[in-house]
Amino acid sequence: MKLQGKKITILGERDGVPSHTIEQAIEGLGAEVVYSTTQCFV
Amino acid sequence: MDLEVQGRIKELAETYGRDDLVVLLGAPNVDAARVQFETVTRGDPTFAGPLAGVELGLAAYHVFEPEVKALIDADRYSELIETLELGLESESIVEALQQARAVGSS
Amino acid sequence: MENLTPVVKAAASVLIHTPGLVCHGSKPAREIASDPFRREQLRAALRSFDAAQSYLPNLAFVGSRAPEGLYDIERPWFDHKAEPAEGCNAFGSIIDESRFLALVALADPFKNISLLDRFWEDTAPRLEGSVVCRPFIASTPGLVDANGLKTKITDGHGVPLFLGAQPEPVGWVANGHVEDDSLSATVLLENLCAKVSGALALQEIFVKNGGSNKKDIDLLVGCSEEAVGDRYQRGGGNLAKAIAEFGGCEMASGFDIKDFCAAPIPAMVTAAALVQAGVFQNVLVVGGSSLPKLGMKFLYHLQKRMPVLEDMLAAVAVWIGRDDGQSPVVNLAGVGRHPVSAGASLDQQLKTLVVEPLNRLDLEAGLIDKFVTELHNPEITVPANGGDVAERNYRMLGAVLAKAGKIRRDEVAGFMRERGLPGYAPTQGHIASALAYVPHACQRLTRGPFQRCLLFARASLFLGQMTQLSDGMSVLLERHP
Repeated sequence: MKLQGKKITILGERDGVPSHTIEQAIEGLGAEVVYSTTQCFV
Repeated sequence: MDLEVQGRIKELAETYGRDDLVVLLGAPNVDAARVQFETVTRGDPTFAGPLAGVELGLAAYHVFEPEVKALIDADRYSELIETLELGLESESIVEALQQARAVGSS
Repeated sequence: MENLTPVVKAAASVLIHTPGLVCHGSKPAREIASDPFRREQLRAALRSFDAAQSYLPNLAFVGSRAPEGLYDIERPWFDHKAEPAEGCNAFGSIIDESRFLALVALADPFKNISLLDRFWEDTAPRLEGSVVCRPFIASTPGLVDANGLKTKITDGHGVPLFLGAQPEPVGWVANGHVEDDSLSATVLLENLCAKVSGALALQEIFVKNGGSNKKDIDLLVGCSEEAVGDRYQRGGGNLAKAIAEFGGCEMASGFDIKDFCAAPIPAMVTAAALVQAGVFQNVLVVGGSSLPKLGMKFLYHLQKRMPVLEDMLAAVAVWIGRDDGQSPVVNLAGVGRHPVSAGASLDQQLKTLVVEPLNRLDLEAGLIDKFVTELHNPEITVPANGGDVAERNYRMLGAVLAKAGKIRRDEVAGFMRERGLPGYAPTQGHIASALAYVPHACQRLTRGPFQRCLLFARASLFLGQMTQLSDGMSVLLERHP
């Protein structure tokens, strides 16, 4: 699996890994985040 | 999965093409991870949202899965994600998604 | 010199069983609008008041049981009938829907609500008979006869009020303005529910602490999740002052503190800081209920053939005042904040909200009797694939404390039972976020064996789409030295 050149959708979660954290983690990998959201169930 | 989110993903798949769109998941438990994976690959299992009956077949991975982990700088992974991985049911999540993927490809 | 140390002089909680209002929760309202048959399905799965009164998590909430008792009772808890505890709860009442709807109409100064005259005639004596509700009967609500109600429903421009599973409405909420969505009937209803439930929690404080005088209260700090205002200042706020007025605190002013589910902690910290600074002597922190969260997971509950358990509105009030020589102290030196640099993830939040204050105060984790956080009832969240929120928090906190060397690795597995709590609160966001436990904490820090409780709460700021960040705050309550 490669992220280079891909369009990324991030479905983060408040009690899991929030999208903000995932964005930070994949920064510099050559992927473009096109949608990033964090879910909260409570 | 939230209906608004389903709608956005459907639109994005149409805009960028199914082959170029990758979904990264951060769900904290097996049930949520599995539903999200199902929804963006084989369609909304609850048949409630815009992805009901829509098999997008997107590449979807949880950030705990080795395929994603391998791409992220080890120090950065350790700083940002490792404690979450330790504190959540990460092994079960990884296993559940690998199983779900295997079912889809058989 | 005066002793300005802030203490928690009293705390109270109230639950209101509102099955008829569930259809006005955000999720049920949307589902019913797209498929009217959902209303029938929902009605068929509503609980009776008896069931709500004997529901173990509810009894833990109002203090007739210790929350820890839930650890040893197998789920489903809704099948487990406990003795109803009306009238003998330590922290407050469980109020039924008819009384609550009558109070909501009484609390509406603009008379957007009209109650069916027969319903009011039946309910007014029941308000008189309740020591908690009686003080609110200073006026008559807007009334309408059966024909008038039918006309209102036919004309539209509002929403009907139902009592439990009864199909015929008992009242009507009119839109507050023809072209202002911020004053729509559903928004007004949400705000009035927060107002009345907050005032009921306030009233419980004075019922439970006879001899205290409402005139001594200088300030109310609101920490509910509603947004009061019109289209030019949506969320303009100050529900606190409306609660102070309705609750009879004549000398009090008020303001609201907003921080999503975390708001009660900054509200308590602000109240304590105002007392410690000598600005005010007596401040009430009041968290009213959240109507939109009713029935949020009802589709999952229907699917699993469970009762719709998100049928409870909840509110808590906390009285913070000057040192009285006995009440638990709010330790302002131990406030933990969540800085921008800590991002949004749970482990970082816990480091900043728990580990950092412990380090600052040079406290071992073993000196904290209870770490108190989001105590959502797992019986509500697990069937909706949301997992057990309290358990997840404690598991992560155990891991974070172990990593920081605050507890041993072999203590992680038993950490929740040892230092945490099971979830027992209705999924009312800010109420479940540590605030629900404050009455228990006060009891245990005075008459019980506790020395310290660390309260912390988290805010999902990203939901408002202004930032991807979270927020949070923590505060330490200590036994009076």
